[in-house]
Amino acid sequence: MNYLKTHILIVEDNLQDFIIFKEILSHIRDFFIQIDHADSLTTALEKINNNEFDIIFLDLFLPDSYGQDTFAAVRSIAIAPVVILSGLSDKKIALDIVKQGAQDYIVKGEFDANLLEKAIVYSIERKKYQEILEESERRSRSIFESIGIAIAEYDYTGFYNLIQESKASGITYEAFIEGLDLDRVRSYREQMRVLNMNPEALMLYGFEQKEDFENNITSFYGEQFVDYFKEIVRAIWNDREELVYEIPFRGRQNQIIHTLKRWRFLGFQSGFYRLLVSTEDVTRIKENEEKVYRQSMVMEGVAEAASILLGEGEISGRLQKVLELAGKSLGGACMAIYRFQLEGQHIHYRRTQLWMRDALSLETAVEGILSSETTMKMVADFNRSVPIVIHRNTGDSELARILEAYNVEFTVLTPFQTKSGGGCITLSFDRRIVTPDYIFSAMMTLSSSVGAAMATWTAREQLQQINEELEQRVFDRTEKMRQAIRELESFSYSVSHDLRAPLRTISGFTGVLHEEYHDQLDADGRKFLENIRRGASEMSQLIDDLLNFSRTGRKKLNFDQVDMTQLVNDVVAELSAQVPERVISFEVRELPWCVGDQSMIRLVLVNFIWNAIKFTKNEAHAMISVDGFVNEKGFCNYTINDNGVGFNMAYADKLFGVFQRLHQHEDFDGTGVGLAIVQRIVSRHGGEVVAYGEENIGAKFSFTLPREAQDEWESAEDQEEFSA
Amino acid sequence: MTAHQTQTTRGFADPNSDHERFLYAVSHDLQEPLRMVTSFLRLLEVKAGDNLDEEAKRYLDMSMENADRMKQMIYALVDLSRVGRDEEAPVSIDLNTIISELRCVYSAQGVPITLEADCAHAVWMSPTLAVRLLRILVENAVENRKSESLHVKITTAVESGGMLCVSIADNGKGMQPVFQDKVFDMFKRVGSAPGKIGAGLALARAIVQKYGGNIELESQEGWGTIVSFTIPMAT
Repeated sequence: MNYLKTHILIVEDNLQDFIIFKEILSHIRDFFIQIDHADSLTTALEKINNNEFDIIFLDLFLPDSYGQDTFAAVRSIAIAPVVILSGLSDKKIALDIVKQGAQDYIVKGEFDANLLEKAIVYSIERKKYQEILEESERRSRSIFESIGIAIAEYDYTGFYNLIQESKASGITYEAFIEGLDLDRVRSYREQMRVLNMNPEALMLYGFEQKEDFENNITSFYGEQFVDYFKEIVRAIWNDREELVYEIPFRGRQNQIIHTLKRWRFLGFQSGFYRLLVSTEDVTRIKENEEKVYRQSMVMEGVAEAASILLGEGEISGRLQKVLELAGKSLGGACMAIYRFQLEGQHIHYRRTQLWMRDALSLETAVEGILSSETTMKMVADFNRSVPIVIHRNTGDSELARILEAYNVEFTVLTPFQTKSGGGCITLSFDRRIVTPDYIFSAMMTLSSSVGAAMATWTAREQLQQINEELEQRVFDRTEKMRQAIRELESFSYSVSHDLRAPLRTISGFTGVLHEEYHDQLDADGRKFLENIRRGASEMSQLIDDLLNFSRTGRKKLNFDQVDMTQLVNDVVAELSAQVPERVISFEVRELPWCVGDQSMIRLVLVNFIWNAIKFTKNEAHAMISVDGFVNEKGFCNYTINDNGVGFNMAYADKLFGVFQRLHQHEDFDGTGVGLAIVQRIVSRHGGEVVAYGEENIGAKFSFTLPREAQDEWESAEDQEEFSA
Repeated sequence: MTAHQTQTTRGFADPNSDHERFLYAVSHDLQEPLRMVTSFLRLLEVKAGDNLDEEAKRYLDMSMENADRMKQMIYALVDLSRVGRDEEAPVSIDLNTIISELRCVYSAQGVPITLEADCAHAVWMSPTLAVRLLRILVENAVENRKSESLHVKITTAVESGGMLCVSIADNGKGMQPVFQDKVFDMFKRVGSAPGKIGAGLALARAIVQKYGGNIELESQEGWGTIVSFTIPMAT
């Protein structure tokens, strides 16, 4: 501002006053002053319009205008600062006008050059700064109005005072918010007067005037606002400068608007407590967030479904769980799995699993969709596991009709492939929604998981079936073998029994002949009779052995703890008593106890030890030893060793067959049934028999017996047959 | 004894070979003492018969009779074991031919029997066993005939799995149901045919089973019997 040249307009109808004013102005030396004069408002306005004045001195009382109107008129067109010239009488008015924007006032007759100069400089400066301020305010306002963030300025003096009063009277924050409800919040909220709202804010709330907003302010918030308001109260209570929170509200179009609110408590400014609330519409951000959240939820659901699919167990229950989980997380109304079978040109489908949220008719609709030609064509290519969306305007009027009839908006269909064919998963919606891409990718993931799982399950089922068949075959074979053994035993029993009858007769009659007709026979006759009786006895022995053999397989085992040391010693004593002519050195060590049928085990020992006695009969120093230990399987292993004729290991497997004899009957008596009996008994105890031998060196027989009772496979029916 | 000379035998031996071995062993092992008993009984009767009284002679006769019976039983067991060991190659056999041969045999023996054969298909088995099987079954009908003339009819029907069902129906005495499931067991006699040991049907079953077939009997007392068996069909 160049003070050296100052253009002044003096609006003064009193000429005398003007001259005095002009005189005083001429005493100002520091700058060159050009003076214009107007004696009416009309002239003044005309001059203001045509000149650029640096300052205007205005008398409010002019012939054509009076008081405030004068100022307003000048003010409306003048850029220059206006200094009011007033008389003492209208000082009050002058003050009011200063408040309305005049730069200063001077009282006529009470100023000198010095004061006037100061007033001029001050006014010009003040005006200048006012302009800068206004400019910046304008700028602020334009920012305020175009910032893209809704901003509202409130005067919350009333509420501030209420809080201060409450604090002063000793009420705590907690007591203050005690029982705070929406009605009270609304009444508090009404004490916050809206000073300014930018267009963004009006737009956000859907109003054109801030007054409309103010009148409706409390209608935007529901119950949840109470909690937020408590925070607002707390912020004011604690003299905080700022409060930021997020709050959704229902817009005028009934849409949900997510906002991020920033309350800035500006404190006392220009007469009241001001509060600036910026409201950012974060709905889109929020929706994105929600989308991301929902996507992760969906993916989690699908991942969980996939892990269920990976597990083992019954397929249909698993699929059901998968559908329930996926259907819920994908937000559909109905989800189903179908399997397809290609039969020539036609595809047949079969629903394997279904989940429905509600609306039962959806299911029917999906079936309708699937049976449509269009769908079948689309699904036909199982390889393309691309989701197919079938909605009401797919183009197929038949489909559209079905969809409409069953209240289905659209169905997403993802085909999958299994080894033996294919299928699809359908997800139907009963309302129109924008389906995000991730729904499709989730569906695809899910359907390929289901396809893979189904293939796995099929393979597993087949494997299981094969295994079961194998087991069955093994079982059948074993059963067949057991059956054959049972038949043999039963056959041998019955045959032996039948053979006994005529033999008994022969023995009986020849016995009578021997006893009663001994004297009537000569030496030859007696010899003949003796031979007859020997033959009969031999047959008898053979038949007895046969009966024994069949009995061993048929008699029920009575498991009991057996003292083997004692038992072996008893058997040795008994058998050696039958061959008093023999000198045999027996060595029986301390043997572990076992669990078994004592009489059967006795039979085993009798057979083994008698064999050992028999096959050492040509030895000068016959040696038979019995030893035993508990093996790593928890079975007792007993061994009978002899130094007899032994046997050729090549025939070891023949030892245990019925009537198998490795040695000439003439050399060693016996029926050849013994070891077969032994084998059967040990086997029925769950043990096994092992034979070692070397010709002319000796034989060693080992057998194992359990230390606890064993399960028996023989059925009870045999017992009845046996006892019959 | 050294370690390399070890061998383990465990579990079940082959039951089929056990069965045959059993049969063979029984027949073989019993034959020898039986032969001894029979021979000495005969010698005793010849040499000392004059010294013995009637009672003692009767005892000897009874012993002889029973020894003979045992012999028959043993023969039957031998037969049975032979069925298992029979290795004669199976051929296509027309049962009608066998029946006509049997007709000649019975006619020569003067047995009043009408043998009718209507076998549209041939069987696939060893000729020896085929003859033996039919003979046993026809003989069974002959043994159980009523006083009036016996009528036996043999028919065939095609079964699944390449098997043929052969039925031998007679109008004989039939039997009570209680015996029907026992008739195929060894030494089980039904009725009172004297001197018979009841091995025939057991042998018949062994033959049929050798070829993987089944045999069953259906009978109504006083009306007759139908024995049916399945046997591989000649193709």
